[in-house]
Amino acid sequence: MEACERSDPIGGRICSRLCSVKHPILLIIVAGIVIRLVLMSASMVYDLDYWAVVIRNIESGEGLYDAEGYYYTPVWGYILGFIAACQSMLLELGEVAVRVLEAFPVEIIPETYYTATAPSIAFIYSVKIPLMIFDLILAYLVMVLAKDYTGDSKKAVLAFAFTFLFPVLMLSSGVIGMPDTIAAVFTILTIVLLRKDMPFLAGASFSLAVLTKFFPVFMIFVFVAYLIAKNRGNPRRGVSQVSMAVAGALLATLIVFAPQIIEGNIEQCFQFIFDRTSTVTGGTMFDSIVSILRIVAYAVVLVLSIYLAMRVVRCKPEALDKSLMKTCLIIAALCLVYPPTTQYMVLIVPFLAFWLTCGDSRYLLSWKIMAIGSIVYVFASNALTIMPLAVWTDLISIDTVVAVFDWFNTTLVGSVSIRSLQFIAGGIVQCIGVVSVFYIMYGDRLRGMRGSAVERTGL
Amino acid sequence: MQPVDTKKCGYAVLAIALCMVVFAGEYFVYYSDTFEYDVDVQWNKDSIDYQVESSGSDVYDAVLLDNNGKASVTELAIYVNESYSKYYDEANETTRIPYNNQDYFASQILIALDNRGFDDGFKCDSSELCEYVRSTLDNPVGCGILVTSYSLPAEIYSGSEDDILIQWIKAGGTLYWTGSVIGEFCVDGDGLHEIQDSQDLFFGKECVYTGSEAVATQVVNNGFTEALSLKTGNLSFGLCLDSIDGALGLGFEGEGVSTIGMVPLGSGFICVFSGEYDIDLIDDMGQVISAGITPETVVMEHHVGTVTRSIESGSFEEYGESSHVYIYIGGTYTKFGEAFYGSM
Repeated sequence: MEACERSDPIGGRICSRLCSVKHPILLIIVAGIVIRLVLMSASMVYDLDYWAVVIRNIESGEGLYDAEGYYYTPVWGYILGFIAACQSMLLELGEVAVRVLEAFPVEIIPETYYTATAPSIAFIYSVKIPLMIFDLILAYLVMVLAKDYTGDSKKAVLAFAFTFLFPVLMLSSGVIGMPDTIAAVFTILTIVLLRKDMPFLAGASFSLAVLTKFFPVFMIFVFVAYLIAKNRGNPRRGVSQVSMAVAGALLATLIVFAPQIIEGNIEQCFQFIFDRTSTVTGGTMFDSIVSILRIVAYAVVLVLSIYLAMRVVRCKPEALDKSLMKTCLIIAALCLVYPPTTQYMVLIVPFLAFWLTCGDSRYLLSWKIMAIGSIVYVFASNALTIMPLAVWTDLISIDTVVAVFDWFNTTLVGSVSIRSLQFIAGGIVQCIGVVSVFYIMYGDRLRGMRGSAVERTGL
Repeated sequence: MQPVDTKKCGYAVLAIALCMVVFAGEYFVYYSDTFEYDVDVQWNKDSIDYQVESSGSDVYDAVLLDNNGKASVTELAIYVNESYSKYYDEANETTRIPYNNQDYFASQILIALDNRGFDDGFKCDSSELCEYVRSTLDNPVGCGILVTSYSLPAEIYSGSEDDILIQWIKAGGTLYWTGSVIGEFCVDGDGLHEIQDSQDLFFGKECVYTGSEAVATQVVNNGFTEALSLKTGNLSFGLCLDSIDGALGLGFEGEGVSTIGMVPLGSGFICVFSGEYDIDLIDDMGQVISAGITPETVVMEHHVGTVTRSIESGSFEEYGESSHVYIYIGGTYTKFGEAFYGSM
């Protein structure tokens, strides 16, 4: 708290105000839920439309991969299956989507992912509310870690607030409707379980994190290093714990992939990765360069994560937990420098919230930059996000929505429009937010000052 | 005895609970019978009664159609061109053609058809296609060929009115086409050949939209779009049906071009789906083919309802001798359907 007030008067005032409330966590939960429930009516319809397709395919008996529509590893698909079952058994959704004639032109705007299909408001909420629950679990787990590390309940509440109210998280789950929060939950749960000496469940949890979204895979070396370092005085126990974690991960992986292994089409599960790392058939030279750069970037992250893990192994026991969280923050930031997409950045949310409350309040700057960047970025599709509201309610007309979108999409110079400028600006600001993490972490060293930021605040 | 660490237990319970949500979802996706649908139709003396059943809550559409004596397609051969990649660049130089994976495209169409009760579809390569056309040439009524490639084997089509394929259509066969200008190329042992005036051969005039990307601006006002929940809005390679005798447009239209165009040729007909490969196009193909639409078809009556974990019933009171019923569940995202051809 003091550190918070010292370096950031406004943030400090917010902290003070929050902590003075009798039940601050209740206030944060209510605020976070209310904001999300309002935001949910706005949607990145392209993604929500795909979830409607996936659920249709599941209900048709086509599983996840037989019929076109699902391109990720299976975990999110299974959760959509769970949501589909709940919809089927408990809800009355009616028609889940309609085609909007007036919005057809958005589908042929080059280099964009827009659709003229408007999912129903009921369908949108039925998919996003489960994501909100994962947001809540994520914030709770960060709070648990903060309390464990500092023993300070107020800092724990702040960690909860900075997670649950982080616009990146709210927009990813509440507007875009992406499952990155689930990957973040399983990643943080892995850390909690590793610290509590439950390596088997930690391994299973890590497996589900990676099989939801790919990025946590770069943390594997750090987690193994943590177990080895933690049991340095008892190598046999260390080996046993690593083995248990591997067993848990393998078992969870086997269960997740069982249907695809049986059907012999497991390669379909990794289309998401190949799409983002392979060169596109018929693509331009630019596409090829971007793909190659992406492979190079991930290779660099891989090498750096191994290097960082080796540092964790050499860490002193009293600094081990601190080192684990710090290394995870660095790896998350490394993964997210490019592409700076809001939903991907969810992985950094828990680590950033943890560090800015428990380590160095200067990370609040990164938090703010990412928050602004995500808002600019997500609403680059501006009026289209409220197309479902226009179609399914009388709050606004479709013509107005399309007219506003057209205005934003009017080209200024060449193919540059306000929409594309906003999109690029949002991405750049988010990227700056991620880079600022490195600046705060290593800036002191770069300037030749003594001691790292963390040592200075003395967590 | 050591005291139980309740916090530790709590985290374990949370982890197990979250894992169970994922595994329960997997069970619902692959192993459970949670999602069950059925439709049935009874032909009576004075009415056609239908029933729709769903294990969930879904919209359903029951459509009474009349083909005015024209036979629907009940068997479909989907052409998978094995030389598609080989000549793609060459063909693409003449007309911009969106690349598609032939085998995957065909598989997706078969799935869409199967989910709508049309289970007599199969893939065929060039030699099998030629064999199919020859073997059904005597009576191709009810037979269909679907082409997602830019070319056909020269053995059955080389741009002449005497070609076996043209004769096959005139004898009652149906040619479905999408993704390129119909009949623009054929392939033989010497390679790819461009065919001039191919549109004249099929339609009697140039009517394929080959302009830059454009989308539809209005619904074709004959009831099919709503009745079949048609979706494609992209006009690429669609047909301008103005002044073509007996033609039927479905879906959406813009610049005089329909997203789905049906044109009679002799006793058979040609159906062109505009747009590029995507889920909407696959769904539209599934709907139009499964519903047994022909250029003669009219929508006589269309019922929309909701069925919620129960069985809903309805009936059509007025119908003709060549009427049939198509019922589907799920609306825009159809998950189940079936066409019924029957008599009293």
